[in-house]
Amino acid sequence: MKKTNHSGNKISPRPSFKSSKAKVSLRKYPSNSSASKILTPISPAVKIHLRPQVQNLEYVFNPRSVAIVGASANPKKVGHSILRNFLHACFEGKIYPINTHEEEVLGIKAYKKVSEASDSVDCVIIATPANTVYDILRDALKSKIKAAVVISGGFSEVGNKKEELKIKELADKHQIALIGPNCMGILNPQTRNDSIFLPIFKLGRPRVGQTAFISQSGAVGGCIVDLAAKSSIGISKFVSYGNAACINETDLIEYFIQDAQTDSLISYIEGVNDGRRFMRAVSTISRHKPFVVLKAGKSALGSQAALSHTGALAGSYKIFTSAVKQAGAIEVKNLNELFYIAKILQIKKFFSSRIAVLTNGGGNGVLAADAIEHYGLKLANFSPVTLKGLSSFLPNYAQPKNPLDIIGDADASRYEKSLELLIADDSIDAIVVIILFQTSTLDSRIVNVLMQAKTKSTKPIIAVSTGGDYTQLHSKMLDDYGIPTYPSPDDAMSSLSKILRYNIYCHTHQ
Amino acid sequence: MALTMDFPLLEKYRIPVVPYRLASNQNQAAKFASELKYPIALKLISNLAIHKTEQHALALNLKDEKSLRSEFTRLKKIDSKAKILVQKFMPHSLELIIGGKADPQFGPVILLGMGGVYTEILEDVQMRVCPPSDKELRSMISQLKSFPILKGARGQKGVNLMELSLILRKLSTLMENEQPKELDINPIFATSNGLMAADMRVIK
Repeated sequence: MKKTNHSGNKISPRPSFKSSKAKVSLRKYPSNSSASKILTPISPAVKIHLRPQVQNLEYVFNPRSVAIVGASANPKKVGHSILRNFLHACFEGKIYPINTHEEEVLGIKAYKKVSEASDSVDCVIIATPANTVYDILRDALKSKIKAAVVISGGFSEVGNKKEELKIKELADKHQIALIGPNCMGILNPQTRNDSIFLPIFKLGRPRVGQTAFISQSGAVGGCIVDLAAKSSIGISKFVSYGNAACINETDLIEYFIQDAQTDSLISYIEGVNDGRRFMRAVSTISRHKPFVVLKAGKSALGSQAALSHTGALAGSYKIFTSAVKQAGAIEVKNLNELFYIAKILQIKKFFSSRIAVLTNGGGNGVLAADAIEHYGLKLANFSPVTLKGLSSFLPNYAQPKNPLDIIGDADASRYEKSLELLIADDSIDAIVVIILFQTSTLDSRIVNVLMQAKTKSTKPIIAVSTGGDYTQLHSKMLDDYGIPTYPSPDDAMSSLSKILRYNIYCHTHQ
Repeated sequence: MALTMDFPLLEKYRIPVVPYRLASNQNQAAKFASELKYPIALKLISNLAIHKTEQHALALNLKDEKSLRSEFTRLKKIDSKAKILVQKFMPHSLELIIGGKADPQFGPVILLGMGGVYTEILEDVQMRVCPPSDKELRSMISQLKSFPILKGARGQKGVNLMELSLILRKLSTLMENEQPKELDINPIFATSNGLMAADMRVIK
């Protein structure tokens, strides 16, 4: 078999094609016009060069000054929430509310135009009707804007392509990093830059972390931000990129490859602009940071009119799935899975599949063992040292074997002693701790035990806790302390296997 | 969109094809059949019969000249102007489908799956964007649900996997160079000795 061309080399033709006979027959099949396009193999770019417009995303995320066009005292207006969020988040840069009618909005001096506010504004956030956007951008150019977030809808999503093209051309010409239009805004908790137009008391804001989220849909984006806040997932940046007139998903991926604050990227994507460029960006980012994708629009529209078997089998969603898998992305099927993966993304150095299960309930241990088999993981065989250690303190009605059922009367200290042995055992790659809080012997002390185990352990420790309010309260505590906690063994094993597969991919594609 | 059966296109890329001749009359068919040696399969090449199985536009496992001649006459009745493919009949081998498609988003894509009549029902297929690396070609084969069958199961010999990945590589080159809209090789007969395309269609 020929050597792989994965390193980005052009594929050389097989020797047999070099024969003169092949050349003769090549003439017999003159290539049609579309065939003249030369395809390069999909392989990661060695170095991604961001075009200046994409470099200017820096001003979207870290502006020194923002103008909020449409800022209003009326709480029903989108511009009101945005200004309030900036104030609430204590944005450190300058804020210029722009309102044609008011002198002052929420106690801050307002201006009629961006150009009147200052001769230097980094980012303009626009939340006024579609037909006003072009003129606002034109005027803002006088203030040397580098970036724009256009919240306003009413563009190509309702068929108004002309207006969208106008603002796209303007932004492209002046290298403005324009997000949207028809988007929900962006969030950078680090610089407290929050242009999400949903009020803070309704939509939680996540803490600072290392995961970036991008979403084509504003609605799904909103759910993602809210859920990230609830599941204590720290984010580095969030972008709702809407119609992607100027900055599209691939630009954002390329930006996040280089963003030092981001070590994983999660995306909600409905469609991509240029499939091959997208794949190249995905395969580049996957070599450095995990890239998770939730693809919407799975219905088989594209394959309805197919004449051939291949045409019928290769619908557009299936091709998308194959393409992102080929590029090393982690694909998830729904928002639940997306967050299960988001929780576990911080786990690194996990290359093998031997799992130890520690539980205080036998049935849940069996469920975990089933899930381990289903997702292609392995139940670890405990070392003799571990077995001996376990028999020294386990009651005689507990058996020292994997899954390790330390029985319903287990307290925090029995968990602690068991964990100590499992952490020291080299034949174990990851530990899944099942905690059923319903027993009388378990209480909040177990959270401490797990936290300490986590700091001591070099292998991933994740928790599974199934139950009602008391359980969920503790699950939240565990999540807050950075121990990924799952409602069922199945969810935990599915996430572990995805991360393992990614780690292996990453390791073998360096 | 025109569907064509274009075996020379496969031969140009060195994708092995079951020995065949194109016959326009009965005597020619009989002559070709004795050259190729029985058993023989006849297939009508006609736009009036795109789904050959459903439209009975083929005759398989013909063991002698008498049955060949009578089936030839029957096929000619479906479309009198069409040529008839005289092909060596290959019994008892595994049927796979390999194909390609020009995707508007990702460009040429190749596909591998279990072939035959249940292809679309079982949907056991793998796809890769062209050009795939050798590692991806191997994973394309091994990630099929039917991979154990390809490897050889229950006393049956498996398929020549090295040859299969070579053919997929050639198909990828074909898809990149010719850029047809869609291409099917269904079935391609697979044995432990090698693989041979038995039927194909292409939409250019």
